[in-house]
Amino acid sequence: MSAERRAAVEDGFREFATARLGALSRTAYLLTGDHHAAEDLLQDVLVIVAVRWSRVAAADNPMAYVRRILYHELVSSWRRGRYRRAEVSSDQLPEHPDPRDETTTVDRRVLLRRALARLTPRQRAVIVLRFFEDLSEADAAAALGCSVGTVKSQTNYALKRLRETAPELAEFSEVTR
Amino acid sequence: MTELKSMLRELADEAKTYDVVDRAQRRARGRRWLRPAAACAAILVAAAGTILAVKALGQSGTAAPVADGPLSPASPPPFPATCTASQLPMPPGLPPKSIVSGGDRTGRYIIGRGYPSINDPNMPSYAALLWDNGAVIRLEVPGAEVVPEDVNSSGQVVITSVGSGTVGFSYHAGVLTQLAGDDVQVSAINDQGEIVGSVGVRPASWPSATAQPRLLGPDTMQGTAVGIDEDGTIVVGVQTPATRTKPSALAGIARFAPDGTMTEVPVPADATFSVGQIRSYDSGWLVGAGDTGAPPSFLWQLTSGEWHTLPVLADAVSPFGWVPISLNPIPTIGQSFSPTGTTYLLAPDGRRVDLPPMTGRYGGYALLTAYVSDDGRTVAGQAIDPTYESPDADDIAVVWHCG
Repeated sequence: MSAERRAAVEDGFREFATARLGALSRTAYLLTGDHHAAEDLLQDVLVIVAVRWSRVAAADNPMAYVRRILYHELVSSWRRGRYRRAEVSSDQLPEHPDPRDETTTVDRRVLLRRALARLTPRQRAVIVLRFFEDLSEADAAAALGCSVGTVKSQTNYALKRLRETAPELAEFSEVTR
Repeated sequence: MTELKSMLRELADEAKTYDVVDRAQRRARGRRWLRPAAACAAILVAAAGTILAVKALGQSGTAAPVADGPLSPASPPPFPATCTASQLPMPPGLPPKSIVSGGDRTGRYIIGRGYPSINDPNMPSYAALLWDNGAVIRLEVPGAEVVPEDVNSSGQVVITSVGSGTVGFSYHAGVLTQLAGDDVQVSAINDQGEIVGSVGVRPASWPSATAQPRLLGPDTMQGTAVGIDEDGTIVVGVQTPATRTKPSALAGIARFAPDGTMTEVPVPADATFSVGQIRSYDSGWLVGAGDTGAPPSFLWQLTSGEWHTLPVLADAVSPFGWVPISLNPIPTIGQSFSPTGTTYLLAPDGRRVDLPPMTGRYGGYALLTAYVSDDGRTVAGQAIDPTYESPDADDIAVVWHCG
């Protein structure tokens, strides 16, 4: 690859990644529950995206491609303990709670974070895909590389666990779609 | 649904914008040309000799002994001179993707995990694997995330399984036994079948797989028992409610003598490292690093006070302080990937023997080590595809036989 061509490819990657950094950061944080782990995860994902950028850019939906890398990296690399720092529940309030928050909001965050930490990476991924990224079951299945039926069953199982581990959050019981 | 969405968004508001684009791009530049054809590999090997001339051990010291207890075995075997790598086999029906998580004292047994294909629509659980003299056995263990943690010289495996809860199991000769206790995580087993780990936030031990857990230390002690010697001496990584927010961050080290007597083990007075996490323990030798793995990594003999800083965090240590080192398994820009010379077995006195790369199909893979037998004759870990191009084979369980 010529230097010019390489520079153009790198520029394309940079433009794409920078534009989506905020959204990807939020998703990575939800998936890991920890700033350091989220940063590690996002960096590792973007390395893969950069290496494969020509293919990613040529895809019909580059973001779907990136999303698939993100979730695959989360689940498969969990084995090395790379992103597991927050997989144990925290008894603490957030480090820097927003002073504008009402106590109940902060409490809900802590409870939710604790409940998410009790899920497996795949269960957690399903919850984030379906209820944060608001993907359809079909799109969530594409992101996870599994069947729609598996997304359904994993979602039900994850919600059941959330209800069990955070009964204080009665809202989970309303999640039945 | 609306409420859950709302709560997830509230939680996501805690996220920062992780500005990692530059770093990712630099790492990617160093990786694009990493998938070497065989001819390229030879060039890289030659280059690495100069680029990666890394000091084997960093700072060292010997403080006064800080605790009574068993010393390392007096007569270490000869340090290995050469090693050869080979792939560990997989059970039928599983792709090559696999990792090693530990092994026994003798080198006969190695444990690890296999992975279903990413194209498998059923997303089945990971497979717990036991290699017995190189022959693989798949252990049927319930749970979505199954982690074999340790195995003793009788082939008894202890496993942490995360499913509807966190559960500890023992597997021995075809018999699976769930350990008593709620929210159990296991860490290690010795050749007497004594098991250590944690129950909830409390460090714990089980005299046998069928025994009730014994909680260690005062009622206020939190943490995990990370290792147990053959005489029953137990080492605990102590945490506090504050440090548990980062599960890898420790408040201190405690040792429990076979009679249950607890001793706090302070870091040596002359040490240049802090103890934030423990990665491995055996017969008094502890390998760890600062909080969340921050350098320097260290090798520390708890009973004698001898310590060394290590060039990288290691995942195993022998009773003689021999540590398998994997430098730069996923290289970044400015670092050349070269398996030869970057992965080796290191002794506290600075002796080292290279752990060579795989040959053939996986010859371009980086290396990561996770296990060393007591005599240093068997080392194991995995070869890693630095390009991530082979999702069903991006980790390959590897064993090195040394002599």
